[in-house]
Amino acid sequence: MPNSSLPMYKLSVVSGGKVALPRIHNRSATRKSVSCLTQDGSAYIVPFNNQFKVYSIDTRQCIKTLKFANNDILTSILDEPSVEVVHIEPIIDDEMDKIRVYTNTAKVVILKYKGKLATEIKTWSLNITGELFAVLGDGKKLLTVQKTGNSYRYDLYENVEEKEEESEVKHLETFENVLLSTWSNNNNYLALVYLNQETKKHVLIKSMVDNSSVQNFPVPSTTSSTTINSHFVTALALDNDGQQLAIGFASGVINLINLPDLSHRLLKWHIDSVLSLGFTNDNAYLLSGGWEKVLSFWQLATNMQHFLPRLNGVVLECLPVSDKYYSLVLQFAENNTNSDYQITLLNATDLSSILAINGPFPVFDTITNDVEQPISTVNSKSSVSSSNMLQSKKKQKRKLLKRKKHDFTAPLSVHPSTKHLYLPHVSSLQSYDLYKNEQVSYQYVTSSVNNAAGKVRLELTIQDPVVQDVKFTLDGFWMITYEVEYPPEGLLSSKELSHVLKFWKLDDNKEWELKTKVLNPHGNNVPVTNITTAPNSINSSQGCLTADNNGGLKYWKFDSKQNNWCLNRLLLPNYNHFSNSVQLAWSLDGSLIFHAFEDKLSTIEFSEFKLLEDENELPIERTLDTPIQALTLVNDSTLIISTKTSLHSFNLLTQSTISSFDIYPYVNGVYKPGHFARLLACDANTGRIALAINQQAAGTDGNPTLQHKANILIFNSDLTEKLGSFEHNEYISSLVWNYAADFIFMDIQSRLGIVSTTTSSEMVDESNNDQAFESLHPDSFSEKLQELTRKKGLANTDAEDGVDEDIDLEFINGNLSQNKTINMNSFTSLFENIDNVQMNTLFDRVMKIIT
Amino acid sequence: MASISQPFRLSALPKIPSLNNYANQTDYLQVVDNLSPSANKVNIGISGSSISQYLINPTPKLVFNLPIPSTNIVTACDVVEDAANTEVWCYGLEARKVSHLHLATKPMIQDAVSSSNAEITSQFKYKLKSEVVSIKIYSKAEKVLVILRNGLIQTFDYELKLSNTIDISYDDIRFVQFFQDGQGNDFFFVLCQLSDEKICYKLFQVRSESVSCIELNSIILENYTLENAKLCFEFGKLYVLKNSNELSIYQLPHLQLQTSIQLPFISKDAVVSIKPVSSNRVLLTADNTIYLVDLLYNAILFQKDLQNIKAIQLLSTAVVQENSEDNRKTIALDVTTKNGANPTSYLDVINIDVGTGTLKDAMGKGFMVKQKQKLQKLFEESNEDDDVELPSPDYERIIKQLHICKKIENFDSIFFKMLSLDKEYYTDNDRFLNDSDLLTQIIDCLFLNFKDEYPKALTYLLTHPLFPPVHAKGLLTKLKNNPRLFKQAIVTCPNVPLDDLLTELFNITNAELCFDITLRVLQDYKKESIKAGIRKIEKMDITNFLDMILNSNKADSDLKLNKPQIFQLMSLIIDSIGLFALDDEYLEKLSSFVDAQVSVVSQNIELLHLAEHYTKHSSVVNNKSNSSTNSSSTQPISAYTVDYLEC
Repeated sequence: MPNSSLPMYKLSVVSGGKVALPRIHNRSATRKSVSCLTQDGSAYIVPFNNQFKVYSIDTRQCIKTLKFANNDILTSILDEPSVEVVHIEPIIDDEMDKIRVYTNTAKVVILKYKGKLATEIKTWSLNITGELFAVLGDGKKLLTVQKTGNSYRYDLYENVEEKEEESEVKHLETFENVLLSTWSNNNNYLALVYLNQETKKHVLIKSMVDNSSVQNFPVPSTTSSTTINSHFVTALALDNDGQQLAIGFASGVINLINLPDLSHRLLKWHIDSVLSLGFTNDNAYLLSGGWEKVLSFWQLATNMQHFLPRLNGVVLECLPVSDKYYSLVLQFAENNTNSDYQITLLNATDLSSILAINGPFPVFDTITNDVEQPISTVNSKSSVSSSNMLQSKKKQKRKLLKRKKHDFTAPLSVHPSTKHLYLPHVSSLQSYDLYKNEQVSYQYVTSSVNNAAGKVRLELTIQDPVVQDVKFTLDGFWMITYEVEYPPEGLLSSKELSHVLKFWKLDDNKEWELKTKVLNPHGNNVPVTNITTAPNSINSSQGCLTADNNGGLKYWKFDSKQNNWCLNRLLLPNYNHFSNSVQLAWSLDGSLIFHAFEDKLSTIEFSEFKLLEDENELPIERTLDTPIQALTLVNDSTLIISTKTSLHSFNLLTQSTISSFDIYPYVNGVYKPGHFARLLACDANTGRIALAINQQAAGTDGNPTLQHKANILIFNSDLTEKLGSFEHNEYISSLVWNYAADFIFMDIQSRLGIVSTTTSSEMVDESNNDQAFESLHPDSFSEKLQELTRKKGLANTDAEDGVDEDIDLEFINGNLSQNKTINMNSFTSLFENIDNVQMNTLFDRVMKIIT
Repeated sequence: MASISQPFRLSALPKIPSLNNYANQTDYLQVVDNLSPSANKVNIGISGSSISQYLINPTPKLVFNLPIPSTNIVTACDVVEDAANTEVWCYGLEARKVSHLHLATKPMIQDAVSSSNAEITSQFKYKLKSEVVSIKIYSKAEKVLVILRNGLIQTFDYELKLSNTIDISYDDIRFVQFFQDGQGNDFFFVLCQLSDEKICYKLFQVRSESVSCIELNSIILENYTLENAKLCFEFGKLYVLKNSNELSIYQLPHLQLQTSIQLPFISKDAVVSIKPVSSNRVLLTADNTIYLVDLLYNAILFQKDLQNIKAIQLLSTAVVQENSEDNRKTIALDVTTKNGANPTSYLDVINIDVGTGTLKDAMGKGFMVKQKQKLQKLFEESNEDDDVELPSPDYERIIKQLHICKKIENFDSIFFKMLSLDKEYYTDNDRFLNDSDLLTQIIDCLFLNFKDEYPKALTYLLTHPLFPPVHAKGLLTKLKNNPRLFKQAIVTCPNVPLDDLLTELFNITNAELCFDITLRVLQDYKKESIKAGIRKIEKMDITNFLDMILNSNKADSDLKLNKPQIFQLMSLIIDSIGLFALDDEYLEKLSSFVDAQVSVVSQNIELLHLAEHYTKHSSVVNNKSNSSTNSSSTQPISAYTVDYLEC
């Protein structure tokens, strides 16, 4: 039985992803990003971790995506977590529709970015050892990298002969103890900062065209200060002629060196570490960026300075792309659980933003493995200081490996009508369109320092308000957010968090406008543990329930008279202990609320807002074996309950458990209270249940690794039948239902996938147990009736209008039918309910009409 | 909550055999189909006797009677109250295959007193071609719509002059239902039985001015017969009950089969009837039982067995529209037939509370029982190490063996071995044992076989988080002579009722157990329910409990160490019984006890102040000294200036 229905669903990873920055994990690289402007300047190609996206500069839209998963060759080469695209260059030929892509595994791929992604992909390997790092000097020079202790070893190769699908390389040179590297925009010069034998920092400038070492000199001292920050080089830039070198320090100072005479001058503006430097192609300007979220333009001839403030994130890279554009790599550093990057393309003349390219920005529950934090003078949650840069990463990895269980879940909500995905992003809210594969909006929903400017130095330790949860009313008109505000540290009141519940209305510009703000909705220092929105039967769905950690429950509704959200009913907190394992489910007819607190499941009557009691006036409660992790009510008759040990379906009508599954090996101790609910979704139309199970993959030696795999299982409404089982190669951090027929999931790499029915939603079986909901709309009958009446009315008027037609018909009918006229509408009723009608019945029907 | 009251008698039926034969008596009783939940008047055409009007309140009474010849069968009737305080009665009679349509007008009867002087004012008669199936009077247009068995739809005026005839071209009309949509438009549909097991459904709209019918929809269902079927219609849904217990629900206007269910609670050859009472809810009768059934949730909301009755059948019900918490009362009219060789039948009225049609009403009352499945593995094909195989013992055999086992050792060995339990207490590895029915059976065996001494299995069971509530009730009294198990039950056994715990709490003399119970009560129950629970206990004596707290002087006792919990419970107890329910002696004791505690508190506060004063002083000093040695990173930053930058 399960096998026959398996093909009903299919899984595909379709969207999302992160901007791929191949050199981000390499601290010695100052150039992090890889992107490519096509030869005609019309399109901009950006690699993601699951696809190439091609943006049109004119229309500012993504015009094409080359998804790795859609092509076997791309999948085999690129769809590995360790593979990065390190270089993309357009191929100059007649068609101008191909790009050449180099990966860090020394593979070269030629593919078309226009038209169909046909089989015309050519690929071959370069014969080099080590990880390919950069391709310089018009594709003639290859630079590989290898980590040696705290520094890196670079190897330079020459690409001697390059024919398609064949190549030969020659090793030229090795650079040891490299700390930092950069190259000029035209790829003709390479600059390295390295430690020489006396462990002194030296700069090496090398031309890639004529193979001659241009210059080698010690890093000039800029200050008499002895702090580590003032000597720690964080950024490097070289101009196109190899004449000027800019060195940025962790302290915020930029040292600009004129290479021919080694004279230097200091540029001081940055307050915190300089994170990025870049010369314009005409060498007239130096661009610099850092924590301030401001792009600074230094006009080198005049010492004048211009600014482009209020960028979205910390500026990790600022480089010119041809003469017309600048590309910026911005990091939303406030999210310390994941590295969120955006590539912004600016118009060089008016500095207007042309493209902002990014994927979804999930905030995970724990810090993920590949987080890279920018360097600052202070060590904070979102930054790393130069002094403990080396340890922190290792420490994090060790910590992750030591902990056996990982909770990388992330909150994700779907808007019921637009189907946009909403991701709380620290103090903001990102909405992402899965189907268009683009960010829709990024809205600041709290008052935080980050909204106006970047945080620098000690400001980094100030904690912003964090949006914990976002929900929508079923009609899609209201958004409910819950955030936690943190008081400053070091005070007696530092632990007294304030909790804020906000109700937002969708205004005419399709933006969310704050309507009601409730401070500490459940009292001082009491968190909101769950928010559940009302079913359609309650106040036309404009209501919600909030629960606290002590058994309290409040019902909020939009009061149209007051034009505001008001507290309408409440149940006082009543337990003698506290718990965050709180789950709510609300029946579709609105009559009952199921409230799970720890291992107790109680039933609350909505109209009276008190516990439902049996004949003996004892509350109807059930105690389960372990705290309840997730609770869903399906078809108003089956409660899907997930505890730490089992996932089971409980039929409310017969008060019996129908089916149960052992989830103990996958769930116990892995997720924080309530977070497993993020991996359980229910399709309210059909009652189907989707569940994501994450497992840590063991390495070849049997030791745990940081790799994960996941399974998505689909069940019918009472878990008696498994409708599908799918594997995914990464940790799934959220699973939601898209208010249609599909389930959407997001993995730890920010990729979005969809588990969809292959049959259309109308064809979903009309079997017995999924029927509950149609009948909940009593209006449908009168609607259909009216429709029929209208149709008939139209038919009649048609008949009256078409007198001439009737005469013709009479002629055809040969006056056989005395009272009946036949026209095109006569047969419409024939085709209603045409399914399964036998031939003779059909004939009967026809005869009835014409005689 | 939904309920059905005991039926009360409207009238006894005349002693005519056909009227007292429950197999087809409903065909001989034609009730005017316009009953409303607040109706006080009922019109019934009783074949071979009369067309009668009854008042229900204040006491059931026959107020008008229109006699008909004893050979005549009433096939349909309708009564409408006219604007001019008159009533129009229209009915179809059949005698020896000849059908007539009758129409009579009479003054309206307001109440039981004014009934005597009512008289027929006018009367008309019309000979029809076929038996009347249904009659509907449209008082606004002063027209009567008559549907005949042979497929004719005829319109008459109040003087029974035929004004219009439509032939629907099918012969055997079996079912006609008139209804209105929300906007007051009139519709009706007919179901005709065709030869070769087909039925035809036709939907008509009735134009209110002219009472002309327009066909909206026509559908033929294959392989379907209306033989032995009971039908009823409720706003948009047609319920067809066949062979007593096969119910199909069709969705109009396109007559789509929505669902069909087998009603397990009705036997195959029962005498059944079905009538709607509100949205998704119908009244069903089977022999002498009435059911109020919710067909959305498939739940029996209420069930009533009638004694001394052979069969009850519904004639008409009033449907509750816009059902809500305040609007849920309605009535039904039925005929009951007594037991016996020469049975008599009666017309009865039943008061019904239809409930709210929500999940709340239906919870726990479902009748579709599904097969239970044991704990399954999530992945069938998994060969992971951490996905250990869960044992699946043969439970039936174990229960059988345990049942006959009278020796403690044997019981234990069977229990632990066959269920493959390693420890003497519950661990997560035993999670496959999650069926509370099974646990109930095991504990049944255990308590059946052992009275005073219990096997170790009980200790295990007491630690099981799914210990069945049935057995948890009264468990403490049962284990009173067994202190170890008693404590085990208090500490780990879930679902122990609050009453039991509180009763033990007030009787116990052991301080340790007292404290355990206190913790347990506070852990498991809400403050409100504890208070309510204390109030409910009869003959409660809390002096014992108070003595224990007030007199405990040992410094290291549990009571001393866990004062907060003890005090919390004490305050709940005193709150619920009232402070002044205590004797003077205890009040004094209590007050001195509280005084003592308060003095401790004030002493502590003073000490805290002192300590704070000194530490604050020193901390200021400390801070200063610290800051000078600290690195610059902790210094507050002054305004952003270029001077600040280190260079």
